[in-house]
Amino acid sequence: MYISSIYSCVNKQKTCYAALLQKVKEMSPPSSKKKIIAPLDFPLWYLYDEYEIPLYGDKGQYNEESSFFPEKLDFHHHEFDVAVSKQPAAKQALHAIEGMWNQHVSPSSMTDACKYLIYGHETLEANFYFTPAIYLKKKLKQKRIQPFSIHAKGSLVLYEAIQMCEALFSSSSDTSLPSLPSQLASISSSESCAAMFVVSDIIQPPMRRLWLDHYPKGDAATACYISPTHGDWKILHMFADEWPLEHHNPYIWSASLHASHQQMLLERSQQLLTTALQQYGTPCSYSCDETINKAVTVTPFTPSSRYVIMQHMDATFQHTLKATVEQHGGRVFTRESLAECNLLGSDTLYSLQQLEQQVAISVGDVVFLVLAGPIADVAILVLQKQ
Amino acid sequence: MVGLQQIACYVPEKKVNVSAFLPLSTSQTQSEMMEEKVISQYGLHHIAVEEELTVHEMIEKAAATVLQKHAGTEEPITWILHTHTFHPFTPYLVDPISSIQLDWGLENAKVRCIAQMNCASIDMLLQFANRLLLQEQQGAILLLCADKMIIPDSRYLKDSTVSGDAAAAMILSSQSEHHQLLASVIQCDASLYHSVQSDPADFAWFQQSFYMGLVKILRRGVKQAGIQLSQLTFIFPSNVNELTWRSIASACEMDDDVFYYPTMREVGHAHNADPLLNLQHALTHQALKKGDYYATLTVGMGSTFGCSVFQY
Repeated sequence: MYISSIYSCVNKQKTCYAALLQKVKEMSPPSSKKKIIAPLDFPLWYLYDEYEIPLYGDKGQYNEESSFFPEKLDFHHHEFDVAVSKQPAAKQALHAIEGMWNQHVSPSSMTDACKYLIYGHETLEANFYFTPAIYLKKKLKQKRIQPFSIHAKGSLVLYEAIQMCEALFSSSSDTSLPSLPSQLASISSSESCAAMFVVSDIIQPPMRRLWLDHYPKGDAATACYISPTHGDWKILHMFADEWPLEHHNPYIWSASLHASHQQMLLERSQQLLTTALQQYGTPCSYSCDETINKAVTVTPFTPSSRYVIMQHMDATFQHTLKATVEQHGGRVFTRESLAECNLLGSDTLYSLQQLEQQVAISVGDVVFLVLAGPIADVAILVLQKQ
Repeated sequence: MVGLQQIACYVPEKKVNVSAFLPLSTSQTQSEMMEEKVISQYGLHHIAVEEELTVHEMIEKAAATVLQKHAGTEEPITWILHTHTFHPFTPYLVDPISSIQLDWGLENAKVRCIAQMNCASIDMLLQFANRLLLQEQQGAILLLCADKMIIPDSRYLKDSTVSGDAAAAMILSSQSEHHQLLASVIQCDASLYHSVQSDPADFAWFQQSFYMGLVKILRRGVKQAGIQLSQLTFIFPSNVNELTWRSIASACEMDDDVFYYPTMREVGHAHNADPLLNLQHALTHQALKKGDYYATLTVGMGSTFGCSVFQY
């Protein structure tokens, strides 16, 4: 599989934790549901109330030790950049796709081959009746495209989308399942299939931009094409480690449960990165067939450069994984723009864009994208420049 | 062969008279006329209302039943796919499937939420699950759907139906000996994206045109399955309203009785769970015989359509 034409929409603004906290307090919801005159305008409040999640300003439910606000941190007034969108997630996604199109002289040549429009998201759609994937299909005037949304594993949305494309574009013609000939015939050949992928996330109250000692979450949308036949970056391999939370509701966890999940995410990310670097990171000869996660065949060539791009989750995560990379002789690329902001599903793709703008990337160079969190799960995409 | 291995549904015990959810009118006469329309033309009488469980707990109930039955087999469940119609579903960072994974030893199953085909998402889930099983050629997939109407005054859907709460679960297997999946088709016409809050002209167009979309998707489904419409014993549709299904039956020159939706009267429109509620009812009442062909037929705001054809 291949990805190409990556385009991100982010709106940077300078702020600090104190200012973010102040803004969060100003946007506090009504203190009781009875004061909400138009319930359909506040579906998220009803949902959070349904799950007994304390809203801003209400500390009645959760353990004081597990503060969701970094009030105890020393860098309360440390200035940093965060991405805050002024528009809904679907509009942000639309702009990302239009920006992706504008990179091409004739965008229709790419888009006409697209069978799917995949809307990825980690954060919640705040509008009860609104369907972003259908909105995008209508606004983009793509009559033949099949839209759908995908989410579940936090910031791993790109990995989830590529994995699903692998199944949807499969030209498997195994006739050992005799019940399926009509279905197999209808599965399009990989020659004519592609997907438009866009991930868009907006942190809107009562979703929290701040969480423990993590970098603040930022709003962003990133679009790209996913194709089984061609693109700017070939996906040599995908590694993933997914696991369920020990309890479904992290808002009522104890401090020790938070700590153990953070430690688990760190350790499992290190292990997976070590595996990926051992298999693809050392000067060795390799190539990959067209199918993700299948056996690798070996032909002699050596990639000239290998970079590792990590999710900007928090300082500990980045420093620990950087040490792992350096132990294996690799190089970490850390973007300077929005360096202390986690752009969620867009994060590693935004960093990849920054890498391409700042570093002379050659054909054959390999980049490892480490997608992780925010609480569990990690995936590593090994990309090679075409 | 790919087919349904297990199916189970969860419906809350509490049933409320449909009149409780109809919008207030300016006159009693208008209220009575609306109630009469909803009951006699739409065929809705009671609506299932969940008062205690959260939506993910409803899913756990349905999943537990199928997983209990599946426990005796050695077929691993490699994926858990779930869907829903309304946003938001569960709060950000809450993991709605973690308890199912931990309770049933499914920690290694890959979990994905595939959605935004509204009430036709269940057919999209069936299609995608089929593709995954074709690719992997082994294992089974747990499919889940649920919606709970937590927002006050949101159950009545203008000129369409009244929403109920329910959850459904099924296991699709590559080694099934029953309920063979012959075809699964979906279609999104994108006529509107904001449901009842859309531009009135767009909404009116959707109300007029979705019948055609249903007829088309049904015909496409049976064609892909390699059978004729007349060979379908039953169609298990979305519990939208009786008027719609009588119209579709007429347009397709089929008997009204082919459209099987007895749960609509006592549950309401439970979104993606509807066709499974009706299928389960048919199985419980032994309405299906071995060899019978049947289909799901779903419609969602958007316009979104789905049809999956099986042979029992």
